[in-house]
Amino acid sequence: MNRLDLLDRPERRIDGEAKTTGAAKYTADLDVPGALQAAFARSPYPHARIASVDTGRARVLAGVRAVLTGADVRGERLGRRLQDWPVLCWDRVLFIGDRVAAVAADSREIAEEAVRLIAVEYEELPALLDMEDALRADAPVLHPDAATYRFLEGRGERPAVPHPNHQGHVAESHGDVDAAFAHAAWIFEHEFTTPRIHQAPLEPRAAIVWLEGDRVRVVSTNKAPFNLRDQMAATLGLARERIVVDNGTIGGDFGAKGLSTDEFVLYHLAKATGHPVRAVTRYADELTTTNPRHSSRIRLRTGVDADGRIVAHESHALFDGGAYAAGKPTVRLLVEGGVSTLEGYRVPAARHEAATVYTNQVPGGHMRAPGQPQNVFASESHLDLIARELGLTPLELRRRNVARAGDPTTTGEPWHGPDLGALLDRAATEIGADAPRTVGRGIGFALGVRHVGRGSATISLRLDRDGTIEVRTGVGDQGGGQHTLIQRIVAATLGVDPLTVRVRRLSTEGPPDPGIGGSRVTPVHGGAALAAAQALQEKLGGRSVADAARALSAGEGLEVSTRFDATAADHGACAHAIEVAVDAETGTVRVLRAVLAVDIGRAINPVGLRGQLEGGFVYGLGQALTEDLALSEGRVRAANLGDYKLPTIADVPPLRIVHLSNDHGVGPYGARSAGELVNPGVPAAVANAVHDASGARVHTLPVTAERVWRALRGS
Amino acid sequence: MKPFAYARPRAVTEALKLARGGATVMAGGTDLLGLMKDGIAAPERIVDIRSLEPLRGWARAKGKGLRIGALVSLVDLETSAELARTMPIIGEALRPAATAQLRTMGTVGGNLLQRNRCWYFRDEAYPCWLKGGVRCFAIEGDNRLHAIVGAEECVAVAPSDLAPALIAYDATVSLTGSRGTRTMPLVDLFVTPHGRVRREHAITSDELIIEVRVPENALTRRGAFEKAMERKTWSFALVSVAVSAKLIGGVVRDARIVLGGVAPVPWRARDAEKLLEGQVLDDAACQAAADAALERAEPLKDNGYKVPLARELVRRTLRRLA
Repeated sequence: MNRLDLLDRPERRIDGEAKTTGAAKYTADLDVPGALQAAFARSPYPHARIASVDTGRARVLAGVRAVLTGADVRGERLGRRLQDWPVLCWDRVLFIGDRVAAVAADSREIAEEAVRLIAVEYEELPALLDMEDALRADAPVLHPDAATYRFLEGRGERPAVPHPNHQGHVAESHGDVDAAFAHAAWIFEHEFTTPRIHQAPLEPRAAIVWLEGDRVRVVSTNKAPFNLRDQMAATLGLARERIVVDNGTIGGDFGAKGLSTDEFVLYHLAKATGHPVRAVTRYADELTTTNPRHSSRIRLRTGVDADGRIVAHESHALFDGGAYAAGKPTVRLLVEGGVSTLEGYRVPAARHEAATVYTNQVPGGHMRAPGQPQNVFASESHLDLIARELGLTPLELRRRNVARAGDPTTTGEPWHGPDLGALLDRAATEIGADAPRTVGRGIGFALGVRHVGRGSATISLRLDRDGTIEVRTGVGDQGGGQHTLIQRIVAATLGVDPLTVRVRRLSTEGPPDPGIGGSRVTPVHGGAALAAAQALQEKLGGRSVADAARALSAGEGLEVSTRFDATAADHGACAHAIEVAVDAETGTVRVLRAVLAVDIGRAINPVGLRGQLEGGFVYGLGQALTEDLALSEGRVRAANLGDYKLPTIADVPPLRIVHLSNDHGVGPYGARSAGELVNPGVPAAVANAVHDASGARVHTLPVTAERVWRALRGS
Repeated sequence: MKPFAYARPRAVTEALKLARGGATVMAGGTDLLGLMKDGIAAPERIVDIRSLEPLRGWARAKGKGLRIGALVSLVDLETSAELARTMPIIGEALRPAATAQLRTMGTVGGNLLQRNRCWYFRDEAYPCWLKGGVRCFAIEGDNRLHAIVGAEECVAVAPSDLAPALIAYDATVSLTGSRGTRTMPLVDLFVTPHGRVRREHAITSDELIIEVRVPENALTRRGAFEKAMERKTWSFALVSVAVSAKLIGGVVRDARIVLGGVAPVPWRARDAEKLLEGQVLDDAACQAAADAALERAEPLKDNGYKVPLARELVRRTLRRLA
């Protein structure tokens, strides 16, 4: 079979059968003999000093095997980059849900009962619940000992920040911004805000930790096991080699599974009891105490010339990082890059300031395209407002400003990626942008671009005598189809049936792997799979796979191991067009239909790709219309998935996806990443459509009926 | 969840005996199990009444109106073609309620007896007044979804979509207990929590709902139902409105206007009903009645929007009757 024929055919998912029959074993399902269950005592205050912890009654409860408090792990802090989050708090708690004690018991019910018997005395401290308050000159400093915190970066230290309540801060510019603003024909300024939202994977976090001789064995839902191993080694003061991290089947991620918080104290509980100890996060705790997408407040200022061409741009973005920066893996401790307003446009001069801020709220983390949905909602709404002021259609303003190959983009880097004008034009045609509007209906556009990830990974192949090929990789499959992608690239390259290619994930005993995240797997692991298959091909010396297999003697295998480094800059892109109807009397928004014109390069898993694009759209629709992980006085109110309003299938309109994809991507066979491409643009497209339909401009997500109703009445 | 004793009696008398002394009655369990998982309810004994035959089934007897057993599942009512002819408002009210799964498990009696909605009440961390605590956290907290009318110490709202529709058709409810059987207007099953009354229903812990009845003369009325919610399914009403009336020569008789999600009980807008009596149902009359229905509304700091929303839904449902 021709290799590209295989890639064009719908895939058979490697994990499909086990998941649909219920045979798949998730971390919470794993049968580890003698495992105890853990539960945690949590702070009810957003900021308080711990006066005393009395565990006496909990310790004597039948079935309780160990009770640990902050005093037992004093000084230990966890985190993906900056380790600022106490394993258990010993002197202060910094948000509602912060942990002060842990119990291991024979059952979860006993562990939870023991937690209720732990008496903690708190002295409440003034809470910083607002980013602006936290950045005042006289604001109390939430982390006075920050200088002593471990920063997991071999090459350097934590970048300096202007205020002690900053987690991360960046100020960067390109071009002569002041001169460009001075020459602008028009200057526009707008402000936008977005709330926290939750990743909401089906499977909550879970982990089991046990000691085996000198080894610490960990099975975790973490999607980057090597990173968790390194974090644990640093926090617990253990040699990396002593810790082995493995995964069960992972039931969804969306960024949530990058942060682990339980494994550290589970180690201590396992040590104290001599038993394996398991923690499975209750969904209420997932919603209220883990690492949701940061809320934001973004101010934009843009200068345009007389023809509506952008000449200067300025962004000031504040992201509420909550009590700890531990959830962010980036060196600058921003939500990924932090700077992504007007991505995909030609911006000759720009100045960006972005910061993440410590407050006494639930700690923020990474979520599908971190930072982009906030910035794209702001800048794509901003563009529509500018267009209307200039008397241009929103589409025309975008056409005049999209980046073409080599143009300076908002960060000053030259544009590498698809033809954005063509995508916008196609979306406009498909939605019927030129047709006369019905009263109460409107169309909104947004442009979304997303970098193709970079990095390196190792993949090994072994051809056995029976003609099967085993792929060994350190990367998991959290539901995104990663293993199927690797299998198909190997099969297509070697011209064999994908069913003869088995993918085996190794624990951290195998070669290091960066794990899932940052739109990385398709270019990096896909690239490694291609390189490994090509290396094996070479070893075949012109023979077919079957012939080479037959030539092997019993127990012998033909092996290659390839480390691949993906370095090229590239982007996927998506033009969104959404039609809505607005009920002017109630403000109710109905999304009638949507079009996505996308360029993601060559598809490797065509069915999975469609799932990523449709799923990304629905994910964005939730952020656009219903999702709001609101806190009141520091506590997340929606403690269940009935109150936290994810979109349901009834909320999803007919969706048309048009591919302008080609094989120009920098990934294997011309592929680009797809998983984080679509969701960022949806909220702005909805808000822009609402404006088009009704004249109501909503500057805050989600676009609720109430906000539309108020915007229509200027209240 | 705490371990509990469980019994599934087959006879009503046995069920009543088991229910005595603080057991919790369960039918579909769609509200109770959620309350238990969230740590709000922790029953020691559960009496599962799903095997009680006399509480099953629904029928329309000529001249005697409609009888609906307490154990009839919501999905059975919603999907019945016969009921769609007899009393179409029931299907209209149930289709946007909860989800197909919840409507399959949920029963008529359970729907009427579900606890009120408030995120402070349903969060274990808040010792709120309705749970026996000292104060209502919603009055000063985030109250965007709370009561705009008729509340006393507690501003949680009655969420049922079915109740307003049944009350708009003058339904009655029959309860049986160890001291006998009693029948009351359905509207009286609901009580506003106040003073020492920290509950939402006028049913004692050792009583069961047997059935709901809709009188024959009410079945000839026209009805309409509308519900505003945050997403298209699986969402409690921001506001729901059920209306019914007879139109004789274009003139309104026996108008009923009942709102859900706005008060601690299904809220009958009696002033507005009176205003419509004898009127021609034109735009002006509908608007005037809608205004009257919300005249006494006293929104909290975050839920002002529910007032115009409710007003508009009352106007729309009334317009649909004409």
